[in-house]
Amino acid sequence: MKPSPYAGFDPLDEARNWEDRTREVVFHRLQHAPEIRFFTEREVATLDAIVDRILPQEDREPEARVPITPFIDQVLFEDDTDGFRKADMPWEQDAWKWGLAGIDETSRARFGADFGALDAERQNEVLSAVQKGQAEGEVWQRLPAGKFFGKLVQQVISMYYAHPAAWAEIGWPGPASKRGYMRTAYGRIDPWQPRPAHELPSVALVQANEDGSGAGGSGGALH
Amino acid sequence: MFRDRPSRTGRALRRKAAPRSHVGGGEWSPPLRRLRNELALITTASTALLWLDNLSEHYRGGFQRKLMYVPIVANPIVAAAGALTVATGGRRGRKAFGLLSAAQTAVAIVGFVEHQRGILKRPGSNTPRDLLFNAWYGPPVAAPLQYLGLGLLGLMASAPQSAAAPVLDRVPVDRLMRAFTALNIPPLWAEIGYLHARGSFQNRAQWLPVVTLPIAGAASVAAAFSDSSTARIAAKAASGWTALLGAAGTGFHLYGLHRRYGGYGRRSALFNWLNGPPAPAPMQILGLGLAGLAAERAGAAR
Amino acid sequence: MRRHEEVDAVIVGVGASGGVLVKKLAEAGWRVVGLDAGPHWNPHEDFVSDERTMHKLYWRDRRVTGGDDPIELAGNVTGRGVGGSTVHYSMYALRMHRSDFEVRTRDGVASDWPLSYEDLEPYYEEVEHELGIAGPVDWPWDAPRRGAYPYRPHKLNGVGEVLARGCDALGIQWRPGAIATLSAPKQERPPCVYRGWCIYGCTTDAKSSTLVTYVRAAQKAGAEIRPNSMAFRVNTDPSGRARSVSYYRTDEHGQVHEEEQAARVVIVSGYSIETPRLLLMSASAQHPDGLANASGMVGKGLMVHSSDIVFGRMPEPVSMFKAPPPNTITQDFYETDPANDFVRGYSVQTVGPLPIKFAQNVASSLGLWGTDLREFMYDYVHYAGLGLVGETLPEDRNGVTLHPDETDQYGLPIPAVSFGWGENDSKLKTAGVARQKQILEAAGAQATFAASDTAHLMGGCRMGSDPSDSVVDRDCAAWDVSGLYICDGSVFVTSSASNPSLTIQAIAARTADRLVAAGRRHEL
Repeated sequence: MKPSPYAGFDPLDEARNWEDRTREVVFHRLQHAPEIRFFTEREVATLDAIVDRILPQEDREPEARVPITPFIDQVLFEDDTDGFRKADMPWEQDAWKWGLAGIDETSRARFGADFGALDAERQNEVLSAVQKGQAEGEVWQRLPAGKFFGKLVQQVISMYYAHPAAWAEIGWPGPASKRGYMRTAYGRIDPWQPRPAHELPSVALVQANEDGSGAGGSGGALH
Repeated sequence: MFRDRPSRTGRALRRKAAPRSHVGGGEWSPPLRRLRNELALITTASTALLWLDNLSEHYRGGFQRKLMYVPIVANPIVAAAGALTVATGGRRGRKAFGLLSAAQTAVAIVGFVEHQRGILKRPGSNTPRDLLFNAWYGPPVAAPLQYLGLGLLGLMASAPQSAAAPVLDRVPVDRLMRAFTALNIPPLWAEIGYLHARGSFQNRAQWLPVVTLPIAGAASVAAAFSDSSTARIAAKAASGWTALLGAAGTGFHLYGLHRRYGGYGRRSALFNWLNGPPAPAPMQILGLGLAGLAAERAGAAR
Repeated sequence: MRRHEEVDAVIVGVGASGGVLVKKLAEAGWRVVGLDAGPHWNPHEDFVSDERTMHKLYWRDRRVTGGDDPIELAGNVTGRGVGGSTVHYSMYALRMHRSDFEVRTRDGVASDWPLSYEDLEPYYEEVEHELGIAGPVDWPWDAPRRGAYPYRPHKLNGVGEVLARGCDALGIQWRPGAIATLSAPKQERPPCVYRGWCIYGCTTDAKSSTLVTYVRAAQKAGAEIRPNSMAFRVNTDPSGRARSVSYYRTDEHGQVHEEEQAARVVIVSGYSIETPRLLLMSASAQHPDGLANASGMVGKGLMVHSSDIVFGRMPEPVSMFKAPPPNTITQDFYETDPANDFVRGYSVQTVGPLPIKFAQNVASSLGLWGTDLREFMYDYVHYAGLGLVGETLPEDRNGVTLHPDETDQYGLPIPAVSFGWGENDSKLKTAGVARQKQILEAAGAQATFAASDTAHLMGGCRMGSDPSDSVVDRDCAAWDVSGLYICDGSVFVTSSASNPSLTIQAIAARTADRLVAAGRRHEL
């Protein structure tokens, strides 16, 4: 993992200027990871392992990592979902239960062990198979693997990039409130916006994946 | 503070300087001496306020070009010389003030050219109809000309008698100032006009300067050619109204800041100051109006 | 069950059109009740600057989406609560072109509208002034204007400048967008401070949603807005006239009560999914196929816009999260061009997704995850996004039906949405994406990628001049049920290549005027 070009930047430095209710929401998220109420212990173990591959955080101490599984659990338990399903997909709650079981199933079929027990390389291989719809397992007969994988990634993203630690590493100042932005023109940086310490263009990543096949969790093999 | 009569030390100083003064071509009459002090005060105050305005604007623009620092650095030096001139009743700093004011006119012209270049560099400038849009959100078209006006005013406040006398012999000071007022109004009017248009004249008071400044300008032009008492009344009215517009405009702009999201609240005040209606800007026309009034009083004493 | 005293009009759904209707009818002296399924938001308390939290603005009741190319629902199409989707829309406020109203005559596809541009023009202008639309000094494309936009355009943001420079390089005309957010104060509402959170609910009131414009005015004029009230049936009397609306109201304790609101005029403004759903749910012995459905067109002809986004990596920071995402636009490719292999056209506009949305786009279009995704996101500020608004043609197979066996939290059948691209739609989309890439590359993009997406809903209860193939007439009156009006995006005959909100609102303003005039003539 390359270090973020915005080292030292922390959107929370501005938090005292946010609208009170926005600050409340964000700090509540920081201080209170929800209880697990939807998933079983085993599902949590599997999902934790998956999350570590979808958005690896090995660069952070374990206690500094952005928690993701508890927030997904909360969304499903409270049915705080977007409400609709594709005709060939089950409702959200079923999709997750089935999908996690399916990933374990594929792991066992390929490597004879549950997903959580595999090493990172094998985990990536399993996830790539699910992404490409080439995963083994009974579950995938009734749950389109590629679509579930898409859902999985989207949801992990929405939890990770809702966290100030994620905002910090991408140089985004977070809730622009109450003040907005003034240097809006191309190439301009506002005083409360960080400047990258070095260039880290994503051009190669785009060129290598333009067909949408994805890096497949190669963990930085492109660089 | 400026004084009607020189202080004791002032008199002492002047006695020493008297021979040189004679070489320069004589003494200022008391009304003119007073006018010069008043003009120095107005110029200094306007320059300081313009600095605040200018700093806000160039900061908002991120000092994207090094040139943008020039007026920010130069302005306080001019203002300091002006302040010294005012504080000493003209005994110290006047010469520096004059030279610096002359330099300021150069800054103004460079700034003016650079602002036009800034506008022309924006996207869409290949179609003339986008020029207005680009002027709204590019560097303000005529803003640097305010430095030109203040530079000239500073020169009037500091020119040696020897240099001023030949001019003043031909054109009395009040008529000179009427012409100066008339010259200052068009760029100010244009600037106010297109910026108030950007604000969609959402408050009807935004029309006031746009509609009435040309009348004040026309009155000043006409009055510049006449010594009649009607001309004096017209010029006084024009300058008085201009000053009033400046004072009221400041009030409106401060109110406009209050109407923005967060208003003067702790978390928003600075942002709104930088992005809302420029609060110090109308003070420039207050200054212009007061200078005109001062000149009329000096002229009346003639 | 509580039966409310009869009023002059009950409006189901207080969104883009419902907001206009409640205000205009109340100001004409009508006794008006507006029912809305969602809450009556208070932007100063309920809206926070947080991407995740603000999903609550979307319609998130259960729905199924299918067909050959199932569309995304929730945030892409509909809102929940007073103000409807205008609370989270991207607020481009565009007029349709003259050609949009006569595509059958000009291009031989779909049907002509029973309205012309000239019929709607005064109402476009009225709504633009009521909302305080900030738009360019001149509009170089069709949709002729009599006067200037009421407010001046907003400044360019980073993406806007990218679109502008790309267009300049290619000789394409661009303009700052005409958008529903204030560039100067309007009454109590402040100008925009360029926070960039517009599509998550504006906390400052600068954004001209109907929630903070029409609805506030309606309440001042005496209209009653009844939130948390989910209509489930329009009732007719034995003569076949619409008489009342039955609905479930959820009180502050979460208790659900069945209530009924009688009215001389019933107006359904629930948008392209909920309007057909309500009419279909209102089936009775008299109307076995659903209310106002003699033509069989209720729920048919649903359209979306192809809204593919192309992102370009620019050499300098773009920071597309700054300022309202709708910043600049080109409509140079809006009209039918004989050189194309398709008819009709598209607009290209700027977008500005915040981190979650951007990362999701990256993941879905490039397939990225893992370390690659995190490192890719380090480059967020360097991306500019251009969005497509591509016209789709109406097809009967695309639409809304009631799901045969699944029900929602009220026990009502959930809607099943079906959508698939037509051949013309797909060709147009492909051409649009190629154009977006071309503009970005001309502006200096070092790499581009496209994310497929759809937005907006149009049609589902289309208007027409023939009762056999349309649901309502040009005044939005249902052909076969007197006293029933359908007034929202579902009456659209074609989709155009403009964001639909302003046209929805102009139709609502016109309908309100027609109703008031009819009332004066005692024709209601």
